[in-house]
Amino acid sequence: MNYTIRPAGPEDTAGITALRRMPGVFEQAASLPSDLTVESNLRRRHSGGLGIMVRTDCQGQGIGTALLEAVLDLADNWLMLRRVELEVYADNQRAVRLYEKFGFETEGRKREASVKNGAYVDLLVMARLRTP
Amino acid sequence: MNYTIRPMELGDAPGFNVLRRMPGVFENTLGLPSERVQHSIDGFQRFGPDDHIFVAVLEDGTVIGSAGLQVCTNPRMRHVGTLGMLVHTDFQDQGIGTALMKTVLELADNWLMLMRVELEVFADNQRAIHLYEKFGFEKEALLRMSVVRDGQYRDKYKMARIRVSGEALT
Repeated sequence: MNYTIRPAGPEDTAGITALRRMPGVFEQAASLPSDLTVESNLRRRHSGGLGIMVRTDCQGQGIGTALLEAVLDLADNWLMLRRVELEVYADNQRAVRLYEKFGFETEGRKREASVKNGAYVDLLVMARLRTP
Repeated sequence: MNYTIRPMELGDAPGFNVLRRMPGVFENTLGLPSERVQHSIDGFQRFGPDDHIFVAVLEDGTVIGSAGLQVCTNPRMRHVGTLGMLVHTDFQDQGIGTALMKTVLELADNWLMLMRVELEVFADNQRAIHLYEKFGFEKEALLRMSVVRDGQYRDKYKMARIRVSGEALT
């Protein structure tokens, strides 16, 4: 399967919305599609928040890995961020392992932080630091 | 000393800005010495139904403290609120922080029925951590190198208070 990774544009809105509603994706996604958002607060400009989603029928094929590589290259080499942070559902072990592979460490657990399948469930806080 | 706790109004913006820049306050919040009153005015005008911001004021209108509760707008997190507060340097250690916390948590528990209130605090801010623990907040995460303070990247704790269903906490 051939695919490209590129910046999102207005023409992607329908596709991104489809991902956000897709069974197998929406349960585990509470935030924006694949992106890195640099914090707007001036004392947090060294930090960025990360979110990724992969279409259900395309999971397990290295696309999450490729997206993370692209986003972290941006963070490290062009934005020179010191900290990249994310939140992930505590039961989403596949995602947690992927993030750990890229150097993210669990910093803690937000209890009952989000609704999933009729219950309040925990989110893990993970972050990856860069020192010069 | 007589003070009142009431919702923040536009006229409080200059007094609020003074707190945001005040030595003894700004270091442990996200304020900056360069912040203009317009920033507080813009922030106030962006407040919507999910923003519950209180100020503590003296009889002459001087703002001596503030506490805000912002209900999460994400549809899957409507049971969560984020809390933030600050107290004027000259009025710390006089129970104002405690009074502000009671006001905000009474709202969260008894009128918004939030299940979870969360906040962030600098990891070495023992006085604030002690106040939050007194109200049932527990440390959940250590956010490393999270915020610039005094020329360094400092750690913060994420703390939260969970409401057990049907149980009054205040």
